[in-house]
Amino acid sequence: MSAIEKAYAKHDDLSLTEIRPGEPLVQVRDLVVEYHTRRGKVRAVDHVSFDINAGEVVGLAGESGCGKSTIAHAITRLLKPPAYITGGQVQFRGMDILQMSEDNLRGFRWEHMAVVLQSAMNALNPVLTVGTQIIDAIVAHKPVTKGQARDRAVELLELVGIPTNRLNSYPHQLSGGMRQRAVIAIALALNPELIVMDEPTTALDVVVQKQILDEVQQLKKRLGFSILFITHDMSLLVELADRIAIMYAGEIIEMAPAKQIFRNPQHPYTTRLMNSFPTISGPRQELLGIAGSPPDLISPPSGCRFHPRCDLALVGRCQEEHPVLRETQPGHQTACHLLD
Amino acid sequence: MQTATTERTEPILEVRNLSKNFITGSALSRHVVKAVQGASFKLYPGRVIALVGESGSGKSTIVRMLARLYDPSSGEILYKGHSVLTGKGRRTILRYRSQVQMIFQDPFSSLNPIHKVKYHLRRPLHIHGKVQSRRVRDLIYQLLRQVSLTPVEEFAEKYPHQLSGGQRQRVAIARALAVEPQVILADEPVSMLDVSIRLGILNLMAQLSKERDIAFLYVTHDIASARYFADETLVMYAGYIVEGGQSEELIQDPLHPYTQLLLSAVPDPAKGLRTSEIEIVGEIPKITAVMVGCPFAARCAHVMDVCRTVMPPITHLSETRWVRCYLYEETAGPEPNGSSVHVS
Repeated sequence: MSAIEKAYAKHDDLSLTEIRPGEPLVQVRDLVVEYHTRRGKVRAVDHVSFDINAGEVVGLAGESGCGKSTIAHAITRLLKPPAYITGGQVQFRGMDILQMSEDNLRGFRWEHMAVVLQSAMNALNPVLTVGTQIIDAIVAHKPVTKGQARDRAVELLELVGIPTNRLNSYPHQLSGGMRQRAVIAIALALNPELIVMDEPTTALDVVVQKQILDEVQQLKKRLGFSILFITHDMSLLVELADRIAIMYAGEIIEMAPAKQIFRNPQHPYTTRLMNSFPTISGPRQELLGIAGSPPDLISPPSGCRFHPRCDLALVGRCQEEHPVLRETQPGHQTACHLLD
Repeated sequence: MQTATTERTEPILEVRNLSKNFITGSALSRHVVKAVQGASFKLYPGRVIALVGESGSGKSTIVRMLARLYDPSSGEILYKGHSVLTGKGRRTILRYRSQVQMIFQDPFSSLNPIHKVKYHLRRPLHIHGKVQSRRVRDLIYQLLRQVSLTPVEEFAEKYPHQLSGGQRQRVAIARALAVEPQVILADEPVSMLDVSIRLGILNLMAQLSKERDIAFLYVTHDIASARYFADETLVMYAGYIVEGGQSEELIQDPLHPYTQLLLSAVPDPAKGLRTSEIEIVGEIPKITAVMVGCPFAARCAHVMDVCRTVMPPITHLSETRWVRCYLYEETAGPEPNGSSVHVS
């Protein structure tokens, strides 16, 4: 092992267990996040549980305010008051991220888990060149010289398809798509096992989005990391994700392999959500969307949180009894009374 | 959703060769941004035309010129056959605006937070002097009912912050309807809204267009919603409208290489995994640069020498279908380009 390889090797002062591809890398259990507002406590994430396996892309989809971004921030420990994690665990290779000390977190982030947020324009420092920012990220975590880090930075730019002469460009000299690639390059700098992507392409045009997502998929194949991909655009996930979780009002209401959820959605909310997208192929028919709007989480509806908007809701049961997420088909979980 | 197009009434609003240049930079380094170049199209009563393009393509500039917020650098805008650019007075513009209304993208900033819903609907009625004041309340309720904000008495008394995004956009639509316009310009009216409520707004606009014979110009970056909502679609790239036609025909059989690229990039779960795709190269050119020829030439797989020097003229392939591309110039008929270009 050369000196440089040794420098980049994962120094595991954290006591993480070894896992193989396909085994759970992250296990989220009963996660609860509350925002303390003047109007009262808002439970933005309510007992959410799911796994991300090694090498897997898990998609988290839902409308604004459903809690999907809060989950991303909770897992990466980026939540700030007034948001508080009030329950649950996030096990990463056997270690609870939520209990890590600040010291451990510093070693853990970037090295094991990186994050790509929505607006690339704000994620980069406008007064530093792209190169400097990549090099800084590397030097902060690894015992390498600036020259060595620079070599790695060039390698990373090539990896994400940015011409390497852009190393000395400032963010404003790059297009939105290039900036988002640069952020992805920084995320990849230390070969993390998990990349959390929170609406990474929402601010971009559809052609640029396609380009970047194709690249992310190729990189994933090559480097083998897992992705938690958060988006409001279900149609993206069907192509990108292995499994999809649909969120509504702070809860996961359906989770299944991507193709299965698309072909055979079980929860009425999922069905209606899929019917809310005009598409460019297939029959050109009238679509209805979903009546009403998502609930105010200060006082969520009783029973099933979707019942006020659900045209199939059962009088009594759906209004009173809260449905739990359970297996309704092999590998397919749904929280709906209608499937009993 | 598509209506027969052979029998057409007179256009209500016509745009001829419209261009807009912006001058940027300081006195020492002046740049000309050619935001829109040579745009021509017609709006008809009861029909929806979509203007589709990526950010910076010039689509919003066109809308703002039509709303008389920008003065065009050259070209004509005709309302019922009369030029609207000659009169500059406040009353002329006021009269035009009582016929041509606009709906903005962001319902969170297009309503005044310190005023109730009823104020927003009363203002246009007063400004345009459409009604006697004792009928105002009835009219406000009627408008709210049309956009399905019921119970109307309750919604009239609400402040914008008490409404959801979809409800605010309904107020904006009601406000546009207040003056009984012939034309509505809608600039990305649903892109800020949640997915589940977008369709409600699109369906409402479609219904208004048909019931009240209003001509809609629907500006969007989402070509799938254009297919859903618009009778006709125009595709913009770097300041030029490069292709136009019936929405369904254009989307199922895109001719311009840029339209083909755009459609291949739209996520489409129904297609499943696509086997052959168009490779995406390059980025949208900066329109500050001195541009000659077709703006798409640098990214186009079918580029010819002529593309780099002269912008292709409009080639009409049928009564409703046209494209600005040399590939179709000589064979003014369908399918001259071979199947390899098509997205499968």
